[in-house]
Amino acid sequence: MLSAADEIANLIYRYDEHVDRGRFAEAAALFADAVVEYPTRNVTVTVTGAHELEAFLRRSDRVYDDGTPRTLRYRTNVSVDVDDAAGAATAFSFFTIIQAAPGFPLQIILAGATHDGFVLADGRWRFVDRRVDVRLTGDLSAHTPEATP
Amino acid sequence: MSAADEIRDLLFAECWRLDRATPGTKHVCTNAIIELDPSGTRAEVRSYFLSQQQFDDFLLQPVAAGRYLDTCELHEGAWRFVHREVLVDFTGDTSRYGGSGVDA
Repeated sequence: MLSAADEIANLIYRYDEHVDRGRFAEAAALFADAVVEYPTRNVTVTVTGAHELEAFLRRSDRVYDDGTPRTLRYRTNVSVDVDDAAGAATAFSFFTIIQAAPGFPLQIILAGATHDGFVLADGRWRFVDRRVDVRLTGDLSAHTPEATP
Repeated sequence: MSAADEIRDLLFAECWRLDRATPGTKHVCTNAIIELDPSGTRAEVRSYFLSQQQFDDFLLQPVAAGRYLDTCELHEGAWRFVHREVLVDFTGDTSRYGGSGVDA
């Protein structure tokens, strides 16, 4: 039997795993009932539900011949705070994304922090909100999809 | 300690063991998805690793990145590995890496 904090950590890592394997629909499905915010310097991109998140991933991640974005999202400093009485939880974590692709040597391309909110519904923990703060960026030229002519 | 805590300790201890076995190398182990069997005595664990190296003539850099697919079992009160599959997804400059190719 896993604790609530362990179930929630699994959920966070499953999203990373799905994206890194190129399974964008499965990744997005974890956010079916959630709002995801990507604040940038000028504007905050807000994505609601699985359909929008999958479209967002397809817009922002280049997929290679092996069906993956050729990334690994190292998720660290995971801190989960569970409110048992309310059936709710929050989590904070860091991410460091590495990429290697044809002609693009293994390197860190992006690093930042993530704030998540969860609720317990029908005995399962689910994402309800996420904010992704990108703090450091490297060479994203092999990550961004190529412009279609 | 919960089963999950003990399994994480097992993963991290293995990283320390690898570090001691390979000077100049640091094995970072993260993203441990722990799927505990209902019996409570067996778990499938998937995690990420990043191997970084630095020597006097070799700047700190990531040299190998991939995933561990582990099966762990509780045996006489202690969790242990019964199977590990190492998937090396990406490599960098592995010229200073172990004897027989990539030992993640």
